[in-house]
Amino acid sequence: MAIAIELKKLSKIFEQGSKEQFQAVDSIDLSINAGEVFGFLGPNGAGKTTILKLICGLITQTQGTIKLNGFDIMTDRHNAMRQIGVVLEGGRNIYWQLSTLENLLYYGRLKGFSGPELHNRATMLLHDLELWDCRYELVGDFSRGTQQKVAIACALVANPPIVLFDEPTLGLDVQAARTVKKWIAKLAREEGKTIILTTHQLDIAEQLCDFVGIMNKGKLIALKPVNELLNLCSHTSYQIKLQGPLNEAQTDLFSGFTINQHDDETILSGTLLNSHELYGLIEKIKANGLALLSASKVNNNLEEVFVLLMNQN
Amino acid sequence: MKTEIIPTITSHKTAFLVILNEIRKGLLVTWHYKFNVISELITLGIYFLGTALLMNYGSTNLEEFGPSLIGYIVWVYSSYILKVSLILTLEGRSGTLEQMYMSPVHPALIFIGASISTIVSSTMMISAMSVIIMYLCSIHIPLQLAAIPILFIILVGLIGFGLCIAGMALLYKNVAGLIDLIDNILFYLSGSMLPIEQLPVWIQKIAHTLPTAEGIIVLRAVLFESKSLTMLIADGQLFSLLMNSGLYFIGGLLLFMYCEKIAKKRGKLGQY
Repeated sequence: MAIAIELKKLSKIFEQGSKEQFQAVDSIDLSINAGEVFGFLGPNGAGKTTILKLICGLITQTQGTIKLNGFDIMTDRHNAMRQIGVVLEGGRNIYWQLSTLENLLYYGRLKGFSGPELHNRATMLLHDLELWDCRYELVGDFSRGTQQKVAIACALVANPPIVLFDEPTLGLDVQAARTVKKWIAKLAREEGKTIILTTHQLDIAEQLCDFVGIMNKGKLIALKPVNELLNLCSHTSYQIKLQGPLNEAQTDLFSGFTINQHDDETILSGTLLNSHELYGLIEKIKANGLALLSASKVNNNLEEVFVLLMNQN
Repeated sequence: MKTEIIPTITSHKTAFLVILNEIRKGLLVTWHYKFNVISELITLGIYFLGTALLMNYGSTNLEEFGPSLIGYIVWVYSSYILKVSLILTLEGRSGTLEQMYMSPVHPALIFIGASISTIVSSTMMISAMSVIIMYLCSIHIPLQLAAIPILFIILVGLIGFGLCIAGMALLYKNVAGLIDLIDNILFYLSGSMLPIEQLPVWIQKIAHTLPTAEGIIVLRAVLFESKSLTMLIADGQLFSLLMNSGLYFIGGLLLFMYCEKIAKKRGKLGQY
């Protein structure tokens, strides 16, 4: 699979005053394959937005290289910039005094597109993003969600193979956030675009990303497919279902477990160190004449993994 | 996989498209604020008339103010081109500046496109204002074709000067005070309203280093002394103007590129 984005030993140090320095990005090596959705996660100040701006060429790196579809952003800026479309925070980065169509045409030409090719692409996006009816209306009059859709259309109008999103659903209502998520998924799955997004909303990363890079203090502390990340601590959590309610004496057998009664079922949730402990627990259930319905590992969500990794770091 | 690598197109074609694009956008935005444009037009007219009346001790006999109107027109151009830097800071606040920086062409070209757009829209305003003032004050300005290349050279220098200020705007963000200062220097100290020879000698020395003074002198010579381009070449005036504008343009471009480099190094492009 072709590499769409390649970062090698990428570092950024900001000078603060005459002597102080702040390392925002610390020697990051990363390759993202074409067609993948990659998410940068991390607390505030972790370096997510800095790395996104480095990739966009808005900040100059202190060390290292950035290649977009093989084009180095420092030595072949002209071609590198034509590989990316970027949606930065919310309804920013579009012209509120221009109409939807004027914005699309402006951004298309800014990337060097013109003529029927640009108009056809703009028309297609206006239809796809349900903006056709408001194509002549000024963007400043729109809701935040609609402005975000216009910003996405503008980022896509030159049909770039790589699209970067900075907090794509921040500040959007549920409906607008759902539309944006649906679109990001569509771009990756149907159009084969390479997507990088930064987000604080871990459920979004979980739903959309193939790979996730967790950043802290400028470093990548974890870089794995989402499934592998979720498995990082799933071995510790189990859910055991028993038939019928438990009496008081039986409840004491399962100290350390959370016990929930549901109709004719009892659900035990808790952590076990290894499979031997699980077998021991099953023996205990059998010895006490309880009927075991199921025993399963619990898949943690990304939030739990994130907290675990942050604590370890 | 449907993703395709975008075919490479030549830089100069993209550059041309991007400049045209900037001109188009500038005109659309100006049209969006058309009410404001009309107000500005009236303000400019009043400002000229007020200054002319003051210089003439209140007498309404203003037919002799043709040379002042020419100086004033050059000042209006300079004032508008300088304000492109303010637009740049507004673009920074709205987030569109960062998008401009992700264009395949160098941002200096985008700034030049924005300046040309301002020149186009301000030419329309200046033409309307001049016609009204000339009619109201019975001012006669003999039209000479040689004035067009002279005005072009002046505007090239002014774009360079605008690039200097735009570069500083990238680094220091709020340059409104600096623009006001320069605006006033160019209005009062570079012979816009008065012939430069009537200013004190030390001011004349400063004036000759400014981006408008040489241009105003040459433009007046062409329009009111009927000097041809050949005559301007012979007496060295055209050379002085070319040097002045050329230095401002090249200096402005270099300073803009330097400031941009520092802004990107400090991560200040999108910070306001």
